[in-house]
Amino acid sequence: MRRAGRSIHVDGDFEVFYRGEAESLLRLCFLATLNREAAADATQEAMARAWKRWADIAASNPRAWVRTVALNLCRSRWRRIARETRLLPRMYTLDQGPAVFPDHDLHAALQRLPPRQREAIALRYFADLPIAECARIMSLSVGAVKSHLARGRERLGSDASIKEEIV
Amino acid sequence: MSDLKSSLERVAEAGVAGIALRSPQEPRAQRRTRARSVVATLAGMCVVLAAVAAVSLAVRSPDQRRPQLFGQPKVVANASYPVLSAGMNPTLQIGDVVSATTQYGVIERGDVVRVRFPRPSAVVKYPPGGDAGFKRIIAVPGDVVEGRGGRVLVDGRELAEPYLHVSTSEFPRVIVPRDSYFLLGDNRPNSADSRQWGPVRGSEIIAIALRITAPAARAGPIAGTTSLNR
Repeated sequence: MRRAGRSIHVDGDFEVFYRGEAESLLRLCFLATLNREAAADATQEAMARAWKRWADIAASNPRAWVRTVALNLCRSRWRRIARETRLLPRMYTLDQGPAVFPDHDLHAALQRLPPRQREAIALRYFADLPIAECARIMSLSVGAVKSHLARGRERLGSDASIKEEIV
Repeated sequence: MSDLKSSLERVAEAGVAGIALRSPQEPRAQRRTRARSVVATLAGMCVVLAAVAAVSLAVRSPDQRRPQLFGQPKVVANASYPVLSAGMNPTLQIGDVVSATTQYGVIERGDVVRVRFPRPSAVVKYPPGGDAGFKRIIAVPGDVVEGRGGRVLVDGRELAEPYLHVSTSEFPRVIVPRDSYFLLGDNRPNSADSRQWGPVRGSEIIAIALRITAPAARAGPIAGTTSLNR
């Protein structure tokens, strides 16, 4: 039994944590990658890892832990996909989700952002994290995150249709 | 800024629509299912293999004329030849018409076959009836065959030939090569066969005779099988 030695109480905690976090983690990953498949994979994998070592991470900040892990996975996955896309354009069709987004312009604008800027935007403005926390999750300095955010905002802002949204 | 947040939320909402996440606590149940499905798959493969084996036995055996799994062998006659020589008397007589199959698999001792006769030379003349005719398979590849004391010995054992009413002339011991057959006519005193030719290659065997179809008075299966006496 893999769960021997782990108390029911802790398992119960994970259950609660999972129910509360999985969906929003999935969304965060989606905004960071704009790729359904990558987002779902990263979320599942991060949650599975969290469950495996729940005893170690439960006491600290499991939420930040899974975000860090999931976004790391997204990043390596994104790198891999970017390489595949470059090398094998005809062999892969990347699932970009629904063809028409309700905020089509924002989606398109996000797609044009470099991944790090998109990730910073997602953490700061979607997950509402303080810049210091974003920096920790992205393994960057606060200054670097600020610069990613500023450039990302600028690029999103240069899209006229959403300018007013981010003023 | 809250506008950007809600816009991001809408984009994320639309993006993840339809994705079903599974809790990591579920996999154990799932693994059991997978184990069960592996067992089911293996069982299914066994059933399929058994069915394939049964079908292939049923389909192949008519050709191979081996002991059957289902019923009697069904050999389809697809050729018919007149008998023009007396070399197979009394089993086949001049004027008989013989049905045969070219779709045969394994040739066995005792089979009456249609064979292309070896090219005539200074020593060997075509027997009456031309360049092909019926002879009986006496020995198959690997057999050691010999005519001694009026009998045919295969691997040192006497060949029982109930269709025969005459004795066989003596002939020296021959080891039948791979893919070759030793053939004799039933009319031993008056038949040109492997006693003169030596073993004949399997590629020279055209068909296996099945029945006499005409004249009506003689119609019926071709008499005689062989067995090795102990």
